[in-house]
Amino acid sequence: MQALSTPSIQPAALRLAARWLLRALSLVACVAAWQWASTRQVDLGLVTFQNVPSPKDVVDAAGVLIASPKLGQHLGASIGRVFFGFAAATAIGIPLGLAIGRSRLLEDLLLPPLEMLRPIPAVAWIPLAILMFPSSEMSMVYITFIGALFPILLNTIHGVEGVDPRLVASSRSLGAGGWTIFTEVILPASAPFIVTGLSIGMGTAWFCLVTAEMISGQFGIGYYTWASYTIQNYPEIVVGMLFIGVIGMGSSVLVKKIGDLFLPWYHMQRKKR
Amino acid sequence: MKLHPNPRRTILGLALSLPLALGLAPGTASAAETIRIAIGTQDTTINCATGGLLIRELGLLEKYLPHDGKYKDVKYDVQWKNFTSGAPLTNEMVAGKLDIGSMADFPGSFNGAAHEKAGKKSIFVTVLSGSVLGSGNGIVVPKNSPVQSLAELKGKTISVPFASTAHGMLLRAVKAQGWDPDKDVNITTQAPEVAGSALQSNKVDAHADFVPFAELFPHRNFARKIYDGSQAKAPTMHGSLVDAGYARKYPEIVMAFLRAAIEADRLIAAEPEKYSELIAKVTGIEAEVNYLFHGPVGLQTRDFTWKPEYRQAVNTSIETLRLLKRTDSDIDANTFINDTYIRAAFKQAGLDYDKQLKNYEKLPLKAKDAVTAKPITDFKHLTQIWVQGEPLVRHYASADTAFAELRKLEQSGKKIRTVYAHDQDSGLKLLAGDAWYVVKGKDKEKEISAFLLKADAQAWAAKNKGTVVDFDTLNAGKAI
Repeated sequence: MQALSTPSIQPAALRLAARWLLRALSLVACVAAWQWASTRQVDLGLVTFQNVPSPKDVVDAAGVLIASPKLGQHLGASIGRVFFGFAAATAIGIPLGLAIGRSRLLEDLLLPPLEMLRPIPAVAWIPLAILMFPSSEMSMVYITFIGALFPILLNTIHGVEGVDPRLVASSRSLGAGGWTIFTEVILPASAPFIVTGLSIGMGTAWFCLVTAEMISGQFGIGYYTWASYTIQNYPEIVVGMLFIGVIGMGSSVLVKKIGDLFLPWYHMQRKKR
Repeated sequence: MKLHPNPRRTILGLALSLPLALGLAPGTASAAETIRIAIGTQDTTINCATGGLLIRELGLLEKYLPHDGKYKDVKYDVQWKNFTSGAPLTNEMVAGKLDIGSMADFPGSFNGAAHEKAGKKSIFVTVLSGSVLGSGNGIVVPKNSPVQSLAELKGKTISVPFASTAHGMLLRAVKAQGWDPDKDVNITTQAPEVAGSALQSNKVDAHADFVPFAELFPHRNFARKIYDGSQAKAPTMHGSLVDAGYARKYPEIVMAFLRAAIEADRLIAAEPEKYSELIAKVTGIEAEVNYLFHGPVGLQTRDFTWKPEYRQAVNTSIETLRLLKRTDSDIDANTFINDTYIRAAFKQAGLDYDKQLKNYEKLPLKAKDAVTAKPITDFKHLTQIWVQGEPLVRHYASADTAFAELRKLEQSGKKIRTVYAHDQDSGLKLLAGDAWYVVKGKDKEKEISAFLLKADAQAWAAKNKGTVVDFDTLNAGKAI
């Protein structure tokens, strides 16, 4: 069958463009609502916008920050701290998770203390972090590390435990040894969960950034946000929050995309459904 | 299939009966007006004690709240909230959750500016405690550091709580050294809580802080004070602010708060040891440090009057605020500081405000020497010993008598809480353990002088042919 006329734009591309337009419009509508609420000083009783800075103030403050020569140092310092903490959490969390997932003995030995440490908020770690590590930078990296560790660890454990035992049994019956089962069955099966854990862990590492940078302030987006709080510069606080949000989201998506490169079969499977 | 008979009717019934039940609840149908008095305190900043901790713990506010005239049938809702610094307190005041708050000159200026930005106004109604020379702020180094003065910190890292009164002192001290704050020294931000750990593990070369940390950290034995704020000659004060609208509406309540503060001051002046212990119980800051500030001839002076030096402190902080915030938000110190309420409170209490305004004396010590029983008049050589288990501090007219007594007490097995000395030149109260001493003469002619800075001790020793020793050597009683 021949098409009556070849369309100049693919309908699929149009649909995609429409979706992006909708997302953009949604963001614009939110900002417009925020501008209206803050300039009109709306008071809804439970929540009030009387003292919330308006988008315009925030944009002005963002402009000042972007033009400032210190921006590079702030961003560099923060990205460094998050990256090293995340890297350490990956290097420790994944192997630990794989081991705990496979060995009941290790699970009984290691999981109880780890589960005790998990709910401890980053702020509570500050004094010990300062005492335990040789430099302020390491103390800060420890805080982002502890923020990233648990999502990575738990998702890895979950992934390993969720491997279909029939797959393991089948490969054993086909003559696979312990190591082969691990690399060819367990690892690929738990990989999607590991990637999800990494993506969440990246987000939680950024989450702990402000806390980490309270340890020693000079540079960093978290420090910038907290110092603005101390001198009551509310627009700057929002700028700091947005920077962390955007960079955090961006790096989280990046981790997911990189992870997905290792999981081509997973996405094929999903598309088929 | 019916799961439950008429769930809709049940929900409707509940929804209707709830407001009815709440309406009949005691208190909601009352015609009496409830006035909220929400007071923000900084308990760990112990020199604010008369504006917060003492009033709250001793129930002093209720004694002065009005119950006549327009307050006849009023119910008071007194709320107390504690903070470790001025910024979150200001945040809550701006958000309308607090009516009165106590903080230092620097955070106070930010408070004024933040209110103005939000379309409100706050007024600085009284001073609580201060030093016209600048004591109260100080710089400490880790205990094992070889540094003995600020000059040795060139090129090093000094941390300070951002935008605090100590930050202002540090900037001024750096300027006085002729340094460029961006190049010659590395100033970073650390809250006092965090700095304590950093000093213990030698992560910073020095730390500047406000009351009481520059003395608390040395007392806890992991730091040593090497600079007193008075060397920067920048007056510093802590005081109380009130929302201007609230003050206009309820001036009698503001007066009641101030009367309570005046009463708290009277009580602690009369029994400094007792209330230092109370502050210690509530805050965990040891009584020895509290007494250092609140006791007679203390490091700071409790004062309610707006001396020109304290007005200057607020002005300086407004200027520095403009620099730090990079905004043009300007508050006029003349309308920001409002002394009408404290003047009225003084009058009501039968005190003379103008007389106190001219009084620059520290709280005097009316005591007799513990050995000779003669009244002590010269406070520059005053040395004090607080023995464990004794409720009161022992006073000695000179360091030599005190050290002799100290040796006797320790030999008899008594534990010593702390020893206080006074710097011979400035008269500042010191923790004797960290001070430097010059010993002149022998036996009956022996004269011991105390100094905060090693350099001062050495200068005096050179001029008067004495020997410089530290506390441990002196206490050991070895022949010099």
